[in-house]
Amino acid sequence: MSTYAIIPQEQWVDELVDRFPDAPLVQNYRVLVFADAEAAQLKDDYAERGIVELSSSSEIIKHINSGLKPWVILQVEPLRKLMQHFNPPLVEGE
Amino acid sequence: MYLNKKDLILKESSKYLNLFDLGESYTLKSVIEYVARLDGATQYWQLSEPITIPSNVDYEIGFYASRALNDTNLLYIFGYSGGNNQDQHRLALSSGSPQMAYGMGFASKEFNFNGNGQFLLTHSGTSKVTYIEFNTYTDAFNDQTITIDRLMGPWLGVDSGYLNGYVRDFYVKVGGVEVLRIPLTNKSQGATQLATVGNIDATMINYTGDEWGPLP
Repeated sequence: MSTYAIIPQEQWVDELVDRFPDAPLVQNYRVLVFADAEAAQLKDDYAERGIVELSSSSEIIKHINSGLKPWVILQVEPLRKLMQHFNPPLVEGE
Repeated sequence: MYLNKKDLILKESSKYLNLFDLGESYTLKSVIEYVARLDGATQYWQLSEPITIPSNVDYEIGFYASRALNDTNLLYIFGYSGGNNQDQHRLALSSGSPQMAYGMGFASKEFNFNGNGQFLLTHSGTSKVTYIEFNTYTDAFNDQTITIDRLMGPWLGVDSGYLNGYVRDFYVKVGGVEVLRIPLTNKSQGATQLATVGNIDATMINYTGDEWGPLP
């Protein structure tokens, strides 16, 4: 299992693009993927950014739509719903 | 680990094997096979360079795959991240339907991809079709040149279609000769998995190290 953080695009560009070069883009946010063991350290290192932990995909969608700056720490299930909400799967067919 | 032979009795395939009969002494190695399970949200395997197979040669593509979630979204097992949607070559799976897509034309058929199993794609002779087999499923698709540079990930820059589960033991044979094999099961190699045949490696995008688990 991994843990995820959603952070504003500008912070990713300024500080974390080298460490997380392939962070997926969701609206104006980037998704960071890190090992569970890194979660506590990451929250300590970036506490000044403001960090909220959300488990509801609807809450996270609201957070993103509102353009809020605090980082969101979340797990994979709400992340999948979030990704599908903002990046709808392509429709292919004959 | 060095063990006394009298202490060893292994249970294998529901029958007991008495190692006492096998020799004076031996070394028991613990062999655990690992596989990397990708999250279905951010991770995929990127090949170090594309592998291209022309349509006028015999080829075989094989791999084992497991899908952890039975959602209704279109998922990609392999594809090519370059080009445009006119020349993408991809094996995609949607809600019960595989779609083997070449160019803008593709075929689909009801197909249940739950659990795991081996996929086998074969093209031979002059039939100009590629047969795809998975467990009891088999079908034929018109084909063109195949180019693959990505496993389990999205294409065309759209962040959707990630496969939640694993692909392992991916190989390609051309003209009956194996030209590429990437097991994707070597935990000690970490994010970049080396080919055992050929020179194309696979790197997991957004790798953390938490992905590895025993192969069931």
